Amino acid sequence: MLSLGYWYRIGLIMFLLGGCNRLNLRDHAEELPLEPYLAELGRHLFFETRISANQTKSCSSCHDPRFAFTDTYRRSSGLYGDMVMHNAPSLLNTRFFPSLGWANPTQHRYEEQILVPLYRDNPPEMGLRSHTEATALENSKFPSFDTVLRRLKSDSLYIRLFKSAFPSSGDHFLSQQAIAAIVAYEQRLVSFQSPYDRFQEGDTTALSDEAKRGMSLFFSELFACGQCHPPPLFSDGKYYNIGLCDAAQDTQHLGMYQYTLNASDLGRYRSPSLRNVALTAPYFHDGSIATLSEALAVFESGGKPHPNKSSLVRPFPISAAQRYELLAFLNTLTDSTIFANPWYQDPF
Amino acid sequence: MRNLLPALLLFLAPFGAAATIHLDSLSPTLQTPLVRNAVSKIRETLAMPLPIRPLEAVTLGDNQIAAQDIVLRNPDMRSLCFDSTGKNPFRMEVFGVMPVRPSDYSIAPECADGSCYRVEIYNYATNSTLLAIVQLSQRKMLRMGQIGQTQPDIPAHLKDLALHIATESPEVAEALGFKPEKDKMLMADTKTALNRTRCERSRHLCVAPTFVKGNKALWVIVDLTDLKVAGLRWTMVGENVPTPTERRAQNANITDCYCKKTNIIERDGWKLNYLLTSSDGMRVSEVDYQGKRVIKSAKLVDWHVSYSGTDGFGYSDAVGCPFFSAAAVLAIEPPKIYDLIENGQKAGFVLSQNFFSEGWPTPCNYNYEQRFEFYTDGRFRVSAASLGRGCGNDGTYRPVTRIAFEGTQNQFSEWTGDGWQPWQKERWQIQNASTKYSTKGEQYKILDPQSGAGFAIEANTGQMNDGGRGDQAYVYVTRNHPELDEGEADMITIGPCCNTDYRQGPEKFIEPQPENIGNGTELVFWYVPQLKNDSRDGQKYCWADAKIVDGVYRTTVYPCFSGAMFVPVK
Repeated sequence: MLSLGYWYRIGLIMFLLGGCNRLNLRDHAEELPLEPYLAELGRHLFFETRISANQTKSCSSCHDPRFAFTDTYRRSSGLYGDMVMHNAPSLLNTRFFPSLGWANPTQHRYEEQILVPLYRDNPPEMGLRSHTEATALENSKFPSFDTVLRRLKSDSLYIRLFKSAFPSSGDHFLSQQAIAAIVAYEQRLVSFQSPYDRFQEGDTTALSDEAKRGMSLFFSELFACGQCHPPPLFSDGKYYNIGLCDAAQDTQHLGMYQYTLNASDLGRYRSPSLRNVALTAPYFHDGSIATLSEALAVFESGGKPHPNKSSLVRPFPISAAQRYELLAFLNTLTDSTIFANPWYQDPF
Repeated sequence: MRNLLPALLLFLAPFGAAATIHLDSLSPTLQTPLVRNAVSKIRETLAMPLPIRPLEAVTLGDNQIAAQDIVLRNPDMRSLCFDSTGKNPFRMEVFGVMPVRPSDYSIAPECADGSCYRVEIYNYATNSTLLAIVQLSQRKMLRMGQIGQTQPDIPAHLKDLALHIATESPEVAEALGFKPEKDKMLMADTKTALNRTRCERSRHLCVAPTFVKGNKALWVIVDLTDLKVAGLRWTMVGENVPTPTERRAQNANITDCYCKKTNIIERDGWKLNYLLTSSDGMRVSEVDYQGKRVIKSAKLVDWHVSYSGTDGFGYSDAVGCPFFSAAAVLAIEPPKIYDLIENGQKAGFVLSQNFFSEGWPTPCNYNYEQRFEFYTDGRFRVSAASLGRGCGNDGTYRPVTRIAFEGTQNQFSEWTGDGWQPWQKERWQIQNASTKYSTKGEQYKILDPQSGAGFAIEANTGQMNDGGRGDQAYVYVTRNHPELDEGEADMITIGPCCNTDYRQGPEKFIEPQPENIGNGTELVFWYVPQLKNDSRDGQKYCWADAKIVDGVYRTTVYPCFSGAMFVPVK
């Protein structure tokens, strides 16, 4: 059986290779440039429904802090009720991942990712037209971000927030400024204060005996959960086909293939972080699994046959007691301080 | 303009305008004659010595008029209509006047002669309901109580007003691409909420007329406190199949035989009373097994149907009698009693009642089944199911069931994995992946420690062989207070539609100071399963649609049955 220390060392190596120069991600998060006005503007914009075409959707509509920045839908719903392609992933700690989202390995920057919900029209999420499209389609019913900025400019709150964040810009609000502010906010969404973290810091009472046994199982060679979900993120950020769907369902579950057009990437999705996993049901890229127990059952069974299925996913025997222990450990990854942190709350 | 208004009012103030500016005073955006008339009536009522708007006499029978009159003339009423200064009137309105049913007799035994009426008055300011029971024969008010954070069923004129606001508001026409017709809007009288609006924050009275367009539904959240549209939301209602409606004629006997009258069943070792309530579904009471009373009463208080965890909109449905009811989901056919089959053998009997909205199974119509299972070996189960189809394909149903147990010394315990841990105080708990069950699948016990008799409670984890996939239920245990209005009589809607946490209504009988129950007392068990609907092929649940059978479309139902099993301990 591989020890917990082994997995921590793996995590350390991964982040050193990834450019991080500190093991403790919480400390690393605190090293962000101190731009409180920018992030405060971003927080308001993150929860602002006027940012969508019909003024009903905000970023928080799909990334609600009450659900660890997810939304409880199987697949999120756009402003006209259409279901988008994927289950809403948590935004917590995303700044430490090499790529953003479920399936696109080339999407590294928040500034690029945020354009997807803002401007995508198949289906529309926020329902905006990009500036180029809006110019080409003057009579389009989809407003551009300029319309959003005009809405915000009529509100004294945003005049103050923009001026504080961009003191040299005068009265001009720019879409790039708004996006930079939201990015600054999202980069500060970190969560490393779970009972598990307290245990790692030496508080031996932070985990129950049952959870400690579950932790051993999690990192054991037999269950090997920690192989794709290593601490500290409880994700290695890599892409796997776990056999959630069989090959016959490929057209609905393209995974990385959608971006690489490589057949071996069909059905491969990024390993999600298990931090706060108890708060983020339903599970997997399509939200098809309702509960944590059922999610565990997918792995117990070894998944469905698929030519791309990872060899790491294979059936394993588990007793009822072990299942409880594993679930008890997963529950210790819940960071309840996110509910009390005013920074994470809706300002409106 | 919005930002200029306060400045304008300040400018006008020295010229005689009021010194205080109420930025939020009633100012509907829609200025039609009907809305202006509604505002006028509100202002007229607030200027009256007793600022309660009565139901108009033309909508009432003679007895109802008399009952309303007795309540409004009661000298104690005035003190309830003003704030603590005694100067500022609350906006209040009579919402319903209806005969007292047998289910209310527990709080008003004098009414067993059938001479009483129940008057429900809504207070918009405090979001509370004043409930008065009057005895016509004596021309007196027998009792009156105020229940906080509750909303009664709305009267017909408010439903019409909500429909008017929904159909006339320009943003609705803009969203749909055309002006909708009133008669095409569904669920107009069903209460709702919407996060970040006054429906949620200020607990305004809100309803959601809904318009189905293709495979989507547009929800028009109408704030009846402010008389304006609070917001619009879209949901997907699933694949648009030309589903035949299952319209059924209202059975003429329901009111006389099951709403006004208590019926008795005696079979398979059980004896019990049952009747249809106004808004708490089917209620069984005085339930005996082998001659011994085991349950005082059990019923289905509310259906909370949420279509968005983050936006927090949906419906708070009441189900009940078609008689004096504004509910959209009604008992159309009489209750059914039939053999309960378990493992191929007769094992007891089932008492079931169906509640139905007439357009079912087309989108935004509902069908609920309430089922009491009584086993010859003493087990029983109180089950509730949605048969779809509802107004969205990614929603969560939360039926609120109340079971009052017989016995004054009952103790409640939970299985912790190592043993049975008694609950010392009133509290709630959720069933989730970490929940522990005994080797027999038991989660709780409710027992009289003196006699050792009582019930073990087997959680529903999908093992009931009825298609149910498990409940993920919230459980609440409260001390029974028959003298207070905590559910012994017919309850008005106790919880909002769309809370995703434990706040489903029963918590208001626990918080802020839970009572001690550790020494044994009379207990009420509240059970709120969480049933997530699904329209995906192979996964359909709490759903109904149509399939071609023999060349024509036939309705197919995918019910989601819920409910724990109560197993006698001794």
